[in-house]
Amino acid sequence: MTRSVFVALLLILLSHGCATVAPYQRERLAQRDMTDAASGELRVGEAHTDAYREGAHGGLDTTIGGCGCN
Amino acid sequence: MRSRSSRRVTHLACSAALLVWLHASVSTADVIGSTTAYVRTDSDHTTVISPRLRVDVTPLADTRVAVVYAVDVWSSASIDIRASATQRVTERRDEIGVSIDQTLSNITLSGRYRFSTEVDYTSHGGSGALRYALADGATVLSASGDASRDVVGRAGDPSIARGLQRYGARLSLEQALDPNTLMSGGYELGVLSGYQASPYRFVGFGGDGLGCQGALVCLTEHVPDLRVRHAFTLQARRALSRVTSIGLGYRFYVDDWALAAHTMHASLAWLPDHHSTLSLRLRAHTQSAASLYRSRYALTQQIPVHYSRDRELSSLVTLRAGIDYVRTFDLGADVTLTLSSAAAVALYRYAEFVGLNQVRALEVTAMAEVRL
Repeated sequence: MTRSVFVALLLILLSHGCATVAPYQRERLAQRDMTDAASGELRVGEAHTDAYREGAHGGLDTTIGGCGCN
Repeated sequence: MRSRSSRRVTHLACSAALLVWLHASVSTADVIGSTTAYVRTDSDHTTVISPRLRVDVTPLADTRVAVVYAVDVWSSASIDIRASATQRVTERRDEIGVSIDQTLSNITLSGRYRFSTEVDYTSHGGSGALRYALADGATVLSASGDASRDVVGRAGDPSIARGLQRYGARLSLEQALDPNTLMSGGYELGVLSGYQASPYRFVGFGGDGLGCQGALVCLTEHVPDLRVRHAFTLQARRALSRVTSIGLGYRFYVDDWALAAHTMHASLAWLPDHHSTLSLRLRAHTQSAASLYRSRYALTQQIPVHYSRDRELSSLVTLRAGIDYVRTFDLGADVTLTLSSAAAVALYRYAEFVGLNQVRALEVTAMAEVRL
């Protein structure tokens, strides 16, 4: 089930590859809530915690450095 | 007590940040300075305090240089610590990172180096990335690679120094689907080679599963030297109106230790005015246990080749709910101040870890950023 949903979403993404949304049409996409400006530095602590408290890593996390096995 | 290497990293980071700042002041480059503090405390008697300082400058029109200095101060009397017959442990990690981004038309090249040190762990790492914007920026292809070399030690025992190498590669595609929707997908490969166990973690055979308590045989954990990890991600964000948007994300993870994980996250963002952003977010993570993990090891005639009491390798469910608020103040003369805060509660549920069923955690982050 999960794999099917993942494949379907991936196909949607690939089918839109290089679709042209002109720069003047991307005004809404450039607003703060769409660029998720609150991530980055604000979420480094949580991402570091996830990297060391869960067995999975990659894709969503920041590059880990050192043990910091907290 | 702080180690000599920690003091060296602190001095190095402060000197680098000062040099970057002074250069920026002289050359009137754009400067972004930010300071962040992350605090986490949980019901497993663990507290983490992580201050972080970052300075970004744009010395040339298409070049950005950043210096980051971060500290983790970690204090714990968790079940893992107590199972090793220790009361409370306090440690400190210092990290310094330098990165440079160079934009060449529709290509951005990035390089990064970081050094992290603590009393029993040292890590050097570097990464490189390439971003290629197509279709007037509506499509962005990214490729990156990273490598690091760690030395794992044991406090008070200089005879232990084991190596661990990490290599990673990532490919991703970001696409503007329409004027209101962004979507991205990626794949990340990670290879770890070397010592991946903890010299502090003991596994008891024939006991009650709680470290060495009551065990007939007790050994430090032993896991394979090689681990190959795969992570597939899909994320989408869609504007619901001029001031609200929703984001969804999913990651599927699998590795050759037979650990598989699903991670989902969702967020709802609102722009109450021109200067503020309020976000609500949820994250759920579930994973199966690694094939080598057992909650208890019976004492049979032959001890298995690999054995671990690492709860990160056990089956686990994590839930997190958080709220973020970001507010920007215009101070005039092209100077802005942005204050951000994030608060989250998290729940970790362990189905097969002796001594601990769940952990509840509170995480708070505060950040101030100045743009000159």
